[in-house]
Parts: sequence; C-alpha cells; structure tokens
Amino acid sequence: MSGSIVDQAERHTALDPLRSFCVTAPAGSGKTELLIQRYLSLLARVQNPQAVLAITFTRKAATEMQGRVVAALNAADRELAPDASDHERTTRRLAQAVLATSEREAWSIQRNPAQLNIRTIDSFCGFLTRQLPLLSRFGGSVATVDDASSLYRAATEVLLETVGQESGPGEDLRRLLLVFNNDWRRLGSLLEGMLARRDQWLLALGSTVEPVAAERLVTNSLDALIEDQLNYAQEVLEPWTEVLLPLWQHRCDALGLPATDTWPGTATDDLLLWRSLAQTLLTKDGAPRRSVDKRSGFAASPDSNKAMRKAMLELLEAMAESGDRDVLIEVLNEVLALPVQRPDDQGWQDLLACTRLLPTLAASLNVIFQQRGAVDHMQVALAALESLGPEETPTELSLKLDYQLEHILVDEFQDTAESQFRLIERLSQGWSEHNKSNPQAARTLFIVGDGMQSIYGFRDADVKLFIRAKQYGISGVSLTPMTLRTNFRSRANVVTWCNRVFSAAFPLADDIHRGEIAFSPAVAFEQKSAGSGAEVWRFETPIQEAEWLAEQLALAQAEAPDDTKAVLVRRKADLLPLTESLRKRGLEWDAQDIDRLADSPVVGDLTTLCQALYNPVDRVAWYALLRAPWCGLTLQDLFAVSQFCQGTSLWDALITFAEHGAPGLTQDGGHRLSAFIAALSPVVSQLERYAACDAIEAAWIALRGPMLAGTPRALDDAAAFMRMLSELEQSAEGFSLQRLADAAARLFAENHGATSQIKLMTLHKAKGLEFDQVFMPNLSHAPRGDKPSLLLWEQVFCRSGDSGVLLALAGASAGDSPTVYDYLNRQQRLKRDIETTRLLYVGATRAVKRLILSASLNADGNGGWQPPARSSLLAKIWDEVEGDIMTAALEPDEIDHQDSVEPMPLQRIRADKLPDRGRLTGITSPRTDEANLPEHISPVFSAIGTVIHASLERLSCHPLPERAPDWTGWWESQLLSQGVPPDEVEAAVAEVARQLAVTLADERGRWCLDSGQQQARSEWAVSGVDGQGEMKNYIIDRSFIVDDRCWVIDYKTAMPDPGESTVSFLDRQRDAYRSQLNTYQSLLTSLQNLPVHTALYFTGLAAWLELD
Amino acid sequence: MSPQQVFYPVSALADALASSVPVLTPNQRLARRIKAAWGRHQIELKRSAWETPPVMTLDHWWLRCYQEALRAGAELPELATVNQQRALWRQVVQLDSSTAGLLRPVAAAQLAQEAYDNLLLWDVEWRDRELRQQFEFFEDSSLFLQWAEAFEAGLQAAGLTTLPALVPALSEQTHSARLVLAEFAELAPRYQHALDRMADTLEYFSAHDRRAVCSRVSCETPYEELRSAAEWAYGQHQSSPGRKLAILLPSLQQERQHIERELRRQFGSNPRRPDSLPVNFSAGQPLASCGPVVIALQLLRSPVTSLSLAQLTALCTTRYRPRDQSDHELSALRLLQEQAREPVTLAQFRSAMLRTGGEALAEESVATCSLLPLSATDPRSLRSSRRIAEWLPVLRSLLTDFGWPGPGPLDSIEYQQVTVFQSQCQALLTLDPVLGKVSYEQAVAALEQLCNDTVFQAETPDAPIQVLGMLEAAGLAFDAVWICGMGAGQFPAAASPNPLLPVSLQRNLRMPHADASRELAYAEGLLAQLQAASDTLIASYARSDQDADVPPSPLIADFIPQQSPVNARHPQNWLTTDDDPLEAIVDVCGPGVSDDEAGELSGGSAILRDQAQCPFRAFVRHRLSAEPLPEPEAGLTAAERGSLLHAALFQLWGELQTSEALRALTTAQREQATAASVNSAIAGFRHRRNPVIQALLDVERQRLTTLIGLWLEIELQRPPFAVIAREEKVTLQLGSLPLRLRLDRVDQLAGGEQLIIDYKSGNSRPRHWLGERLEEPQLPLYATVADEVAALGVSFAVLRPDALEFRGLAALDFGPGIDTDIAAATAKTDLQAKDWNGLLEAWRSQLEGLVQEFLNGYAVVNPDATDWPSRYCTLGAMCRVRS
Ligand code: SF4
Repeated sequence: MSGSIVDQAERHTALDPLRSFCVTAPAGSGKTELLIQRYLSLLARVQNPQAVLAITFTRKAATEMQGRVVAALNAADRELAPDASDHERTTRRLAQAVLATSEREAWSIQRNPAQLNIRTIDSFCGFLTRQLPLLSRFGGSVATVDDASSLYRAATEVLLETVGQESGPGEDLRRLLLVFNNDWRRLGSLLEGMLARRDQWLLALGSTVEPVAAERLVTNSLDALIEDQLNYAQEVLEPWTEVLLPLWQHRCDALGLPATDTWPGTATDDLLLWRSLAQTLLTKDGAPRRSVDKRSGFAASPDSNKAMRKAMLELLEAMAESGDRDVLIEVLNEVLALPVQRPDDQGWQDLLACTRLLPTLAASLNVIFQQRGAVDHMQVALAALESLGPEETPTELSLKLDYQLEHILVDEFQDTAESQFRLIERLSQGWSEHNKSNPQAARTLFIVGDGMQSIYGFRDADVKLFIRAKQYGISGVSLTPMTLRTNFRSRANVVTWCNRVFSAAFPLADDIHRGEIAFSPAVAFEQKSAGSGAEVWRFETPIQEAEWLAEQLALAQAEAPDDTKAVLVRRKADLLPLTESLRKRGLEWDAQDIDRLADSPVVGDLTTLCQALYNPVDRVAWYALLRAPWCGLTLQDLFAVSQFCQGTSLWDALITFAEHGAPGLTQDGGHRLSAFIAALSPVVSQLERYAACDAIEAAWIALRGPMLAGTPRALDDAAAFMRMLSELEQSAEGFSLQRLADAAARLFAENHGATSQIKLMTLHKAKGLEFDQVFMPNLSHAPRGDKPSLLLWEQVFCRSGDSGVLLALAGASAGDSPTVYDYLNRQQRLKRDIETTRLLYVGATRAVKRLILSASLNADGNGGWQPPARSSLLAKIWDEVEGDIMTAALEPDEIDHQDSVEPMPLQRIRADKLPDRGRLTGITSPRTDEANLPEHISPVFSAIGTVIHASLERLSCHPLPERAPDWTGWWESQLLSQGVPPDEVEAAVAEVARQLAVTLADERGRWCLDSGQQQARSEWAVSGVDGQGEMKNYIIDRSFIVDDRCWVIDYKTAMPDPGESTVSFLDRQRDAYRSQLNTYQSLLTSLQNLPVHTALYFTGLAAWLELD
Repeated sequence: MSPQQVFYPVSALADALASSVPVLTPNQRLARRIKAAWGRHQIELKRSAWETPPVMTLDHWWLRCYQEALRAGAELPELATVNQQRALWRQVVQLDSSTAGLLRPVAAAQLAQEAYDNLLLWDVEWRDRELRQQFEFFEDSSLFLQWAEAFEAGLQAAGLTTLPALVPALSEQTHSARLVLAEFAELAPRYQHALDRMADTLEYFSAHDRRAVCSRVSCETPYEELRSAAEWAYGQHQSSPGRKLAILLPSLQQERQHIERELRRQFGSNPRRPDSLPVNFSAGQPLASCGPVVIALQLLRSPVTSLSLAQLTALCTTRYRPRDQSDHELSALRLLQEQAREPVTLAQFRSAMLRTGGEALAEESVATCSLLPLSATDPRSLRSSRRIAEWLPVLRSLLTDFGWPGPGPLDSIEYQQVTVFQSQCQALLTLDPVLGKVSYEQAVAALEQLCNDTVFQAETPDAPIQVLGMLEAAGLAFDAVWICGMGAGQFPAAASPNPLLPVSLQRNLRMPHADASRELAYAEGLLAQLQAASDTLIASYARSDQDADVPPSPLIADFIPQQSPVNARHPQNWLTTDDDPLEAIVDVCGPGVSDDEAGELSGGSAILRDQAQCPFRAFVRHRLSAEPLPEPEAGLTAAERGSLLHAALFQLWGELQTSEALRALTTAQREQATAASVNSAIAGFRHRRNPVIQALLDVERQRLTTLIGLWLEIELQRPPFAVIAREEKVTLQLGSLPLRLRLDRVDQLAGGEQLIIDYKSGNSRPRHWLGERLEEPQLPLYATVADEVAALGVSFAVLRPDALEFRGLAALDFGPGIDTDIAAATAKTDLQAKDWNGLLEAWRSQLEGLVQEFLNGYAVVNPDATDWPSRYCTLGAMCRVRS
C-alpha cells in the first residue's frame, strides 16, 4: 500500500457500538466502507438483524451496500490474502462476529439476506405504512406514483369546486384569483407546485389542519424569525450598545424619528426601531457609513452637535477596524431585510388568504388519493410519520414489529428533508433515557453526510438539518462530531488544489440560519501524483471550447483508453456544442439522462400515432400521420385530402375518399394513401380489442415504423416508449393521452453507449461517482436568473433550533420597507449562491487523476480576463484561479456563417418500400363470422332446475317421505345465491315445491327416487372419450339396476310452452336430448357390461319418456 | 388431447383413483391435471368410459361434506360466498367511524379478511381474554378485533357462516374411510385436525422424485429476463413440441401482460386468438378492465357523474355502442374539445349536439343518440335509496338504452366478457342481504367492485407451456421449468406478517410470511419441490436494479451459471434489413389558392400573421383547416377573458363616445359606467353556466372593473378624441385575397386624424410590426389597405395589471406611449422608414408579399425549432421541425 490514513484513529472510534456519531465525510473519504464496518459491528450485537437500520439516499446505494455486506459475510469464511490491508482485516473480523451471532441466533443470514435492514428512506416509510395500515390511514398497500402531477392537478380542480362558496375557502380562493388575474391555469399550477412540496407546510401545520391554525402558523413563524434575528443582532451589537444608544437617540431626535429611552427589545414590534438603528450605521445601499452629515442626523452645527458627531465618527471608525466588521455589516443588513408586516396591507391579507387555503388544498389532495387509490412518495413519508403517533404518546413500534430498532445509520444526511428528519427523530425517541439506564446496551445513531455536497436544495433537501443534528443531536441523543480527512479517491495534486481553492470559496464557519457550511480540507491517501492535477483553461467562444475539449477527450482516449472520462455540466444544454464536436470526430459517448425521450423523432411519431388513434377528432394528429415518413404525402396531396375530407373524423373520411378513387390526389399520393389505409385499418377497426401497447406496436410495424426508424438507437427509444405505454396501462390510473404526454416528458432516452469511457452528465447526476479524468466546461455560463416566482415559501430556521414556514405572494413592493416576499426572494438568492459553490465542489472532487476546468471569457484589454458573471460557477473560485488560467493556441472559429436557409426536406418512405397488405402485424382484419351477442337469459328457470335437482338428490339418499318435504329455507337461499331476484323467490319456491309434490305423488317418480334400488347413484360423475377422441366428463342424474338392466335417467324440469300440447312438448324434448342420452348409453354400456336403458323424467309433469 | 400434456405421473395413485378414494389437492389446477392424467391412463388401457375419480381441492372437499351434511338433514347455516364476505368486510370497515378517511378501505378489508381467516385456520381462540390483551396492546389489532366482531355479527344477521368456521362441525358429521392428500406442502392446523378426525386413514402422497439439473441465468433488466424466458420457451417448444414447460413468475399478476406480450412476439400470435399461443396462464385480468366492461361501467356512471374529455371521447367512439351515423356526436365532441372544457356532463354534451349542425337535424340526432337515453336524463329518479333487486332492472334497461354492447359482431373473447359481465350483474343480487338499501351510485360502485374482484380469463385449450405463479406450480411435473425473480433480496422474500395480528402470535404459530425463517423455509421448500418435479430447472434474475448490481439469491448460488439466451435487443419482427428506405424531397409549396377558395377563407388577419410567422402553419390552419386542440381548462380561458374585456370596453365607449364625455364624469359616475359595462359584458357570456364558472365570472367582474377603472386614467392623458368605430367588421381585399377583419376601435382627434387601436392582454409591442416579416399584421393591414379611413397612427392598448399603456406608432401625437418618431423607431429594423408614409409603404409591400406567398401556396417550415412561434405552436408533429 502506498499511502497512509491520517484519520485512522477516528475511523476506529467510529466503530464504537456504544456511542452515536455525526460524521462529516468529504468527497472520496471512503464513507461507504466505514458505514459497512459500523453496520457489521452493530449487527453482531443484536438479536434480530432488523434491529439495525441503515438508510441510504438512493435505491442504488441500498442495493450496493447490501451487496457489499453480503460479500463481506461470504468472504469471512475464506482466508485473507497476505497483503490484505488493515481495513480489510477489520471488515473480516467484524463479519466473522456477525456470522457467530447468526449461528447463535439461527438467522441463516447468508442464505437469507432479506433480513438485512438496509433501505432507502422511501422504502422504510413504505414498510411502516404497510405494517401500520390503520395508523398510517392507508388501509393497506397503496400504489405509489413517481409522477404525481396529474394527482396534484386533480386536487386543485377539487379545490376550484369550492370557488362559489360564500365564505371560507371560496372567499379566499376568489381573493387569490384576483391576485393572479383570474388566470386559473396559472394559479392552479402554482398550487400544484405547493402540493409537490407540501411536507414543508403540512408538517408545520401539524394535525390541526384548519384555516385559523394555518394563519397563525405564518404569523408565528414571522414573529419567531424576527425575534431570532433581532436576538442575534443584539448579541453581535452587544459590545457597542452603550456607545450607540445615545448616538442613535440623537439621530432620531434630529430627524424626527421615533426612538426609545432604553435599548430596544427584540420583539416583532421593535423591528422598526432596529431598522432605524441599522440605518444609523449603514448607508442606503447597505454599506457601512464612513461619514455623517445633516441628512444622516449628525449636522455639524450647532456646536452642541459637535460632540455627538465626533462620537459617531469615532464609533464608525472603531467598527470599521474591529474584527467583527463583516459580521456586523451582515447582521445589520439582515435586520434591514426583515419583512415589515402590516396587517392592513392588501398584500398581507392576500397572504393570509393563501395560508388559510392550504389545509383545504391538502384535504382536496387526500380526496384524490382516495379516489385514485394512489399516492405520491411524499404521502408515504407523511403517513409513516403520522403512523408513529404524536410525540407525546408515540406508537409502540417495537411491540408492533416484534423487535426493537436499536441502531440507525443514515447516509447522505445533508440531503435529508424535514419529514425524513422528523421520522428519524421519532424512531429514536426515548433513546437518550434508555441509554442513561443501560449504558452497556446503548442505542445509537450514526449519521454520515457532507454539507459541502448538499446540492439538492431544489428538492427541499436542507443542509440546515445536518448542522442542527451535529449541534443539537437528535431526540436528545447527542452525536459525537467527527470529520474524516483522508481522501482515498483523488491524487495528491488534485486534493491540494481543491483544498486551496475551496477553503477560500467556502465560508469560515457553519451557520444554521443561513444554511452555510464551512470547508474541511482533505489529505490524499494516494501520494503518487502522476499527471497534471487540476488545470483551468480559457477560450474565446463556447464553440472553441467544445472543439478543444473534444480534442482533449480524443487524446485522452488514445493515451489512457481505460480511464473513465467524465464531462460534467450544470445544465444539459451545456453539452450541446460538445456532442456536435464529438460526433464530428466519431467518438462514442455515454450520456445518462440527457436526451429526453419525448424529443426522439421516433417517439414523436409514436405519440402522434396514439393521439390520432385514440382521438379520432384530432385532425392535426391525423394529418401529421399522413405527413410522417411512413406515408409522406406532399402538401399538394394533403390539400386534396382536405378538400374532400370535411367530416369530423378524418379516418372515416379517408376511407370514403379512397373508395371514391381519391379525386385530386397525385398517383404517387394515391399509392401512399391506400398503403397507409391498408396498413392501419386492421388496427383502427378493432382498436378497443387490444391493449394500447399492442395496438400501437402493431400499427407501427404495419406502417414499417421499425424499418424507417433506422438506427438501433431509435429502436431503443421505441422500445422505451412501448414499455412506458404498457406501464401506464397497468398503473392505477390507466392510459390516457394526457398521462402519456406527461410520462413521455419525464422519461429520458436510454443509455445508448454504456460501454464508452466518455461519460456526459450533469453535476447532480455525478454525485457519488468517481472518474479518472473530469472535465468541467462552460464554467463561465451564467444561468438566466429565474423569473421571480409569484409565490414563494420557505421553511425558516431560527438559531434557537425552532423552525417555521413563511410564504408570500408577489405584489407591489412597499418602497424601502421589505415585504415578506422581498425577504424570501433574498433568501432564495442567497441559497442558490451557496449551492453554486457546492456544486462546483462536487464536480471537482469526482476526479481521481486529472481535473480540467474550462470557460469562455473575454479579454479585459490589460492582458487579463473579464471576470465571469456573478452567478456562474467560475465566479465562486475566480479569485483563487485567476492567476493560473491557461490559454490554448487555437485556430480561429471555423464555423461557416453561410446563413442560407435551406428548406427542411420532407423525409419519407420510398414509394417502392411502401407497406403492402398482409404484412405480419399480429393483428389481422376482423372476421365477420364471429359470435353474435349473448342473449340475456333469465336465471330463474335454471335456478329452479338446479334446486330441484339438488332436492331430488337429497330425497334419493333416504327412505322416501309420503309427501314432498318443505325445505323452503334451503330453497330460498339456494335460489337467491343463484341470482333469482328476491321478489321472484317466492314464486320460484312455489314452483320447486309444486314439481317435487308432483314427482312424489307419481309412482314412476317414486320408483326413480327409491333409495332401495340396486347400485343406485345420484349425480354420478363419469368420464369417457367422445367421437373425436376428446376426453369428456359427464354427470348422470340418476342410475340404478333393475332386473339386470341398467337405468339411466335424466331429470327435466322444463314445462310445455303456453298453448303447447304435452305430446308435442315431449316430442320436442325427445329430439333435443336424444344424442345426449345416446352418449350416456354407450358410456354406461362400456362401464357396466349390462343392457342400458335411458329415459327422461319430467318432474313437473310426472311424465316418463323412455328412449329406445 | 395429446399424450404430452399429462402433467402428472398418475400411476402411483392408481390404486386410490381406481377405487374412488377421495384425492385432495392444494389447488384446482392439480386436481384437473390428475383427473386428466387418469383419463389418459384409462385410454391407454383401451377403456372408453370410466367413473370420474373424486379428485378435488380441499375446499371442494369441504363443500361436498357440507352438501352431504345438509342432505343428511343437518341444520347448518348457509355458507357466505366470497363476494358476500368481501362486501361484508368492506361494509364493516367503512362503517367504522374511527377509520374514516382511510385511503384504501378496500385494502384494509382484505387484510382484515385474511387475518380473520388465518385466526380460524390456525385455531386461535381470539375471544380468550389473555389473547385479547395481546391484541389490545396495539391499536391496529385491537381495531381489528372490533371489526371481526362486527363481521361475525353481520354474518349472523344474514344467517351466514364461512367455511373455516364450519369445518370442525363438518368433520364431526362426516366420516371417510380413506383420504389421500396429494402434494400438500403444508396444511392449516384446523384443517389438519378436521381431516385427522374424519378419516380412518389419511395418506400423504407425492409423486415426484426427479432430480433436476439446475442452472441460473442473469439478465440485464427485468424486461430482458421475461424476454429470455419467452425465447427459451419458444426454442424448447420448437425443437420438441411435446415438452411440458413452465415459466414461474413471483408476481404473475403484474407481469402477466409483459410475459404474454413477449411470448406472443416469439410465437407471432394474435392477441385476440388465445388458441394461437400454446400457453396457459394461471392469471387473468380484472373483468372491470376488459373492453366492453369498461364501457358498460362508464356508461352506467355517466348519468350521475361528469366525464373527462378523454372518457367522453371513449364513449363517443366505442364499438360497444351503436355507431352514430350522422356525425353529430363527433361534431359535438369536437366542439367540446375545441372549447377545452372539462369536466363535461351528458347534459353539456347534449347541448353541444344541439349547437352543431342544422336545427332540425340536430334535434333528431339528439333524440336518437344512444348516449342520451331518456331514462338517464332525469337524475332525480336515480337519487333514491333502493334495494339491489330494484336497481338491477334499472341498470339493465339503461345498458339496453345505451345500446350496449353495440351492434356486434363480438369476437369470441368479447362474447365471453359480455357473458361474464351479465352473470356478475346477476351476482350483484347476492349482495342484497349484506348491502341493504343503496343509492344508484352505490349500486354501480358495488357492481364495479364485483367486476374488479372477478378475474376474467379467456377460455383456452390445454397447452404444453404453463405460465404460473409460484404457488400454482405445486405438485405438477414438467420437463423443464424456468423460474424468474431469483435475485438476492427477492428470494427468499422479506417477511410480511399480517399487520392486523400481533406479530409474535403469527411467528409462534408459524403463520404464512410471519418471519424470516419461515420465508426461508418456504423458499427452500419450493425450490426442492421444483427440483423433484422436473428434469431441468433454470433460475433467472435481473442483475441491474437502477444501475446497482444485484447478486443472485444465495439459494441458487450453486446452480450452474449459464449465458442468457437472449440474442437480440429488440423483438424479431422489429428487425428489418433495408438500409435505405427513405427519400428526401423538397416540398415547400402546396397548390395555389383558387378564387373560389379565397372567397371562403375566414381567417382574417390571422392568415397573414401565420404566414408571417411560419408559412407552414398558415397552410395547415387556413388551407387544410386543421386547428390544434387546446388543453382542457377548468377555469376561464385566456380567450374568454379577452373577449369579456373587449365586450366591456365596447359597451363603455358605446356609452361615452368621446374622451370629453369621460372627463365630464364624476368619479362615482365613472365607476358606475364602468360597472355597468362590465356587467353587461358578463351578462352576455353564454358559455357553460355552472357554479364554478359563475363564481369565476364574479371574480372577473371585479377584476375588469378595477382594470378598466385604471385604464380610463390612461385614456384621460390623451388629447381629446372621439371613438368613431368599435368592434367593426371590415372586409378588405388584398390582391385577390379577401380578408375579413374585426377592428377593436378607431379614435378620431378633433382634426379628423384617426388612430386604430387593438386591445391586447398579452405583451404585444411595436417591434412586432417592424421585423423582417410582419408578425402582427392586423393594424398595419387596416392602416394601409382600408379605403374608408386614413389612419395616421396605430396602437396596441395593453391592458394588463402590470402594464397599462398604449404602445403605438403614429404620424402625430395621439398621446403617451404612441411614438411619433418613426425614423428613430425603425432605424435599427429592417424597415428603416423615414416617416409615417414611408412606414405605410414598407408595410404595404410586406403585406403584399405575404399575401402573394399565401396565395401561391408557399408553405415552408419555419426553420428553427427554438424560434418563439414554435414554442407556442402545437403543430410540431406535422411540420416535423424537431426532427
Ligand atoms: S412548430 Fe414551428 S415550424 Fe412547426 S408549424 Fe409551428 S411554428 Fe411552424
């Protein structure tokens, strides 16, 4: 081994099964191995393997960790290689201990790894809801949909239903609609967005979801926020208050502003005073004052003022020189940014209306969940939380699960969302008390994360929770903080570069309120430093940059073909020029989740096919089919079609058109059209008979879609589309065109060149991965500022550890006193800013050997470069890298600027390749000789017959009674269960009774039923081979032997039609049943070796009909 | 039947079968197979008839005992049907107020039913006090106890019982000398005891003693796994059609469609001809999802609920209803889709029908439209509470009125589906004792539930390939078995005890899925059984789960690894060898516009706007009359709000006439006038008067009043003017193209100078008049072509809450926002006009160019997909600009 592990001791400590830890694990620090070791060390100490719960961020991570644990367990039996490293030895030792426990507790852990409780938080929540179906209010397992947008939309539409209500939600909704210009689509989509992030406000609202509580929540959150900030400001200003107070009073006096005799308090009401305090020290644009004058309240005259003025200047100077200067400026600016709320403002009223609406909105969503029987992932998390019961009286989970959760490990904690944090809190509730009394059986938490890699703010991950856990512990269990320093991934020169650059780019200390994370430097394990480490390159245009980059990649491919090379970008669009350049050079690449499926031409055509087939009145879709490559009608032919086909359904009209010889169509067009019709009509004419997926595939094949798609890549896209379609059909909500469009927009084309060593992906996707060489181009790109959102909300954290929710609607800004909206807008800007730095860090730390950053920058005319835009990635490290920028000697852009607009050609199938009739599609033209409509047969007659048969069988088992028995109860229930309507039961019972009475009064009837007959059988099951050699089963009503003759009797309960004579009825029946009885006869002949006689007995007529 | 399809070696059972000893099986499939094998055996012995041996499932055996006991005169309660039990459980759960708002009461009912049955089958005395305490410790299980009691009370009230409850009594009353239990892996304790009690000899029997050669296959994805299995089955079947094969799927219910599709692709068979595939499936699909049934249920719901446009489309175009010959239904559908309104009711559909087509004709087609049967149009009759028996005829007659299931012909699958549906309607009656009086909606919902619970499977002949769930293979013998889903973590599965029972209880009694050790034992048992019952066993698993590598289950670790047989990434019938099927032609010009056609064009200035923005778009919309459909909208659409604004301003200026009249009004008078005009505009709004729209119109009233109030302030900043034209329809002729326009407004100053105004709620700007092509041709068109006026200025009147202003160009001062410096305004544009007249000249030539293009049929595709027109245009599928 070549390196040394500087934090070996910490890593060892982290395995202490009696203590809880919060581990900061920077990129490449080998945290997975640590997690596994800790997991094993805990596993060996519990009685049920499920008592140790490990939570990972992705399913992939869970599967991977499981796999590695299993591998470690399996390897524990084997000898170690002599050169095994220390940590391999440790892992082996720990695994052996687990095997010993498994043996003792009879886990069979190696044969049954499903017991390893390693999951994602989603999966664990799902598990809880399934185990607590009533407490979670799910009722049982519920389908979870990845894309819940259609559910959200439906929920907002439920909410819209209330708009007419006099008061309550109706009134509030109308108020909001006014704010949004009565544009329901816009407001609705904002509300959908709120539903997608409802955990934030729903948790804050708690279970008391009523409008008043919601209103109170926002008010309280605002108060808490202001107080918290003022308290903090108070703390920072503490050393200066004595001097500042009289100066401030003086200023207020001079400017006629309100002031107080004593230093102001920190309640919400004091905010205005604090603003005036801050303004005393800061200029309008937030910079510290350097001088004062009359306008700022410190006039030079009269002389009485002089002292004050002097004192003021001294104070400003002292502040400017103090070490706290930056903190002071920041805190004062924050005071000025705090929202000044005014209860009489229209905006404030709108805001409250919006807040009050939230509970109703959430309730609407529940209605939809119930209707559709499907939920989103968030609901699973919320329900899991709810099922654990209120904090005061928690659910006894251990009793329920039959084991006690004793240890929890959480990976990627920096990406935890509030609901997840709360879940972990709830799961570990009471542990600190437990640990006090059982120090030797302590329950532990082990959370691992890296605030520097927290980049999922847009998904509501909140790094503040990580800071909170580190500082305050979880549920009273305090966590020993620990920071890993060894970087096993990157070579020394890369590590050194990162340390230098990022220690300056990150803040100096963690700040929970702002969600800021300080930098922790790393030490490379691998001291060998081949290669150049990190470089920053500069170009004039993105095209040049892309060309150079492609060149570099080609070189790298040639020099180190086995190295993985990743190009990491912020947005997918950043890759466009590069893919062009790569394609030019014939380089293959592997792009993950980059190409949207919906943008693939073949998928576009398939979508159109769906639209046309499933919405016959969508003329545009039908025309599009005619224009698509498989038909390719020219404009002229399309026009001819439109002249003829005026009806609503273009397809119907097309058929008539073709039947009329397609007047006006060119000959070529005629061919094309008739081939199109022939190919499509078997599908269209029986569309409903097929699953959409089958129908579309058949139509596509009939139209020669696979051939026209051309490339395997296009076929992959088509396959992905078909799969999506079939999954939609199977989903709880089923297939619809709307859902199809939604789903297509969400899916990405599959990985087309998974084997290539060149990987293109976004920085977010790259998280958790490593590559030998990393390229980060286009770093000077400044993302377009997000359009100011009309509705903002955010969870706010106080330094006290409390949290709340604020939300705001865009509105007129009230001069220089900030609204809640202004405040939140500023917060979001700050947050984005911080994340930008982290994003860069994530990218840079993916590199093992080589890290290449590049940007396009303009020269500044002095031999340097114009600094990049503030919001670009490069801006975050500009000061540190400016001096090292390298320039490549390149030819000037060789892009041809000939802007001649070549019209886009029409790509279409060649006429000789047109599909012909009868191509194999799996779907054939409908047959016309198919079965006709089933008659609806009244069940009454057949039910009566069945009941009589059963009664006869019952009678035949015992000595016959004189008169028919009264089994009314039994008959009724039999009749009902066979679908006889209740009001007809009485009549049916009467009929049964009548027929039985007739039979029992008849000598022949009694003879048939006599239980004393020889070898008497009722309902006799017999099998045989029919004329075709097929095996058949039969039931024979009655059979017995009299005088060496075997009788086979079939009971009939039918009666003559009205007006039909008994004789002709019996004739009819004889004809009807002759062949059946013949079959019986031959069956029994071969079975009994006796002469067999067959007969029909009519129970309602006491008629006996022997067949010859 | 061919001899190959014998899935059971029956000879060892011959003695029992020959002497009619009852042979009991764990499932129906096995019972059938044994009987069939026995028959085959008889045929081999050259017998043409034999007594059917009493081979049956255990449940059938109990039913037989029950019947026998009844025949013997025993007084036994009636057995509740499965549907009755389900309905009762659902009712119990739904009536419990403490669980109101459960997301899936149906799932809870099912859990409860399973829990309850298991309690009985495992002989748990749950009424016992001590045991009860175990339950009451936990909220979910103590609630369950209450449900169980309610369920039993419900049963009792209806005079019913369940089989497990009855079995002990049955075993007292019936007696058997000898019973054979074939291929039972396990037996619930209660049944075990009962059988012990009732039979003198109880024989356990298993026929299998083979030792399969076992191998394993890893596939990339679950899909590839299914395809591999299908391909394998196909290959095996082709090489030796007699082989008895099985594909086992752990979650057959979800995967059935996929595996069937893959098999069909292999065998090239038609989905509607199940007999074209030599495969039997042990799973079907819910009846409720079968074509004719979907429509039947939708039809039955339609009188009481509103429909989405997609649902209405399905009802209008379905084959399970008489096809409308007159095109009125589709026209109405089209109208509703164009108006983008959702949801819709049948009543709205009806009025849409009346609005399309000529009056008399429409009346007639409404009268004959089977979607609008008279009985359905009176919802009052459907609101009462009645018994199922009273509703059933209503449901039936409604279906008849709707013309369901259409004129036919039905194919054989549809025929079966319709038949099963009819029998389910009948079966609805059996729920009567459980449900009592219900509303129409509830009755339909109950029918829907029933159809959801009913599995439909098309009849198929016995086939050599069996696709089975894990449990259903029990006892059968195969030549080769392919078993899917054998990844680590899936097999053995994680424990999943019933959440309504205490876990410790389940574990102690070893109830199904109770804990890990039981799952392991089950999995091992299953594998062992399969190994004994086949010659070849292949276990497959998908190795990648979201990019992570999944190892094989430890239970198959020592199977021989094998290559996945899949050799193509795509189905065989997707692969073609043609390398150059395409041609590229230049096709940018359609036929020219004839005079006749020109005379009928109704597009007005939109024609030229489209032509300017994208000639192809103009061709599609105005020559082919293909209009893209908008997305459905529940609120007021932008167009509706726009026309309300127009209407209000029309009214207002009709009253005022001049700016001086406006100036003369007091604030109160002005407000009054504004309010009056807005009110009258809203009163004129005729579309969909439902409560939601009503309320939204109220909001709109408020919004417009405020907006117009503010707007009037802007108007007052202008030099005095008179409004001389409002919403005026004008027909112009440009070249040979007649253009029908509607002008929002024309103002005239004291000197007679005229300004043409276009109201906009969007973000229109003068630069839209100054581009290379005239993107907003309406006002320029009027200014240059109309003879009646000599306009000296054109302006947008932008009325948005965040932007209230005139934005225009003019020869002289018409007020703020209207730029008079034409030279400066056009300096950086393609037009470069020196003055107003120059501008008019430039416009004229642009307009003439556009007209000429259009008349010539020029229809090139706007070359850039990222251009702004394409971002809002929904014709992308037609112009193919993105490919
Ligand atoms: S999408 Fe673009 S190119 Fe296609 S028709 Fe519409 S505007 Fe023209």
